[in-house]
Amino acid sequence: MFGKRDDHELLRLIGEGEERAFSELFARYSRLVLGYCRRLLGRQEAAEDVAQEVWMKVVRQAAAYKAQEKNAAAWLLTIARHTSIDLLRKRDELNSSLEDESEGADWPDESRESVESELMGLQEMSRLKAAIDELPAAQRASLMMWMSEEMSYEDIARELNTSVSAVKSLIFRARELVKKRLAGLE
Amino acid sequence: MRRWNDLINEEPSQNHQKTVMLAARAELRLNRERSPLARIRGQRRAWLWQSAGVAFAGLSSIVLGVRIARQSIPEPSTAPSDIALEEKDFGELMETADNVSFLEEIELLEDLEAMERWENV
Repeated sequence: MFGKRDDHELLRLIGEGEERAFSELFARYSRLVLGYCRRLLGRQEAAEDVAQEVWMKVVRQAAAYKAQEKNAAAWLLTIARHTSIDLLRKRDELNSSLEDESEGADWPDESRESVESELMGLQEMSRLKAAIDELPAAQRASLMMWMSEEMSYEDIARELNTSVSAVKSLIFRARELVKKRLAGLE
Repeated sequence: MRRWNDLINEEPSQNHQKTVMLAARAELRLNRERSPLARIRGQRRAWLWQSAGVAFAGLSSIVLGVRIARQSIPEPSTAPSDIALEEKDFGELMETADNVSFLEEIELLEDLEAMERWENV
């Protein structure tokens, strides 16, 4: 019965406290939410804690969800990103990895398609995941926001409280580091 | 981006699923209490109780009024004891009437005796 309802309808019902609607939405997006938290945070245990917090926020905010603003998956990823970034800030992982970025350098704009084909063609998925998980927090978060949510450099800079140039640098370095690790050079 | 999205696809453990569902249940209960639909249902329930209370009070007043009225206005009794009493009164009346005619008869006899005595004299 609930399997046929669309995401907006499920969120409206969750706002009214309908358990079966929540079960259906969780079945649809639990992999996405957990996977995104995992890639942003780099650790499974922390990812599960944050994913749980994300789902609690979904239940609390479902009544206020506006269907016309974003699709449900994008809305869930936004909540997952904010919650993950908050945790990285609390643990001071983000700031320490942001300090390394050089300001003012002229980093090239890259295309997502080229980064995807470059990295995805290199190795099997599990090794690629492991390589991303090992990146410094700011590089990992920038790469994931840029690739998965297709956020602009400006939006990522605002989210991380840094400059556009630093974001370009973070993404460039992340890609280079993943390539090196997969090639066994580091 | 389809292949990239495979990167953010992690199978949740059974434990994670159970924990989330358990925690969500409590939050969903709060949503049920806060939702406009629940508020409307609550208002409707309160209105029904209030209406039932008013109706009961009205009905009680009517019943009480009728009982008081019945007590203050005496009705002609149809109780068996009262019927017996009425029959007894009628009997006494008849007896009195009988007694009267009996006395009259005595008087008449006395008059006859007096006349006979006068004739004999």
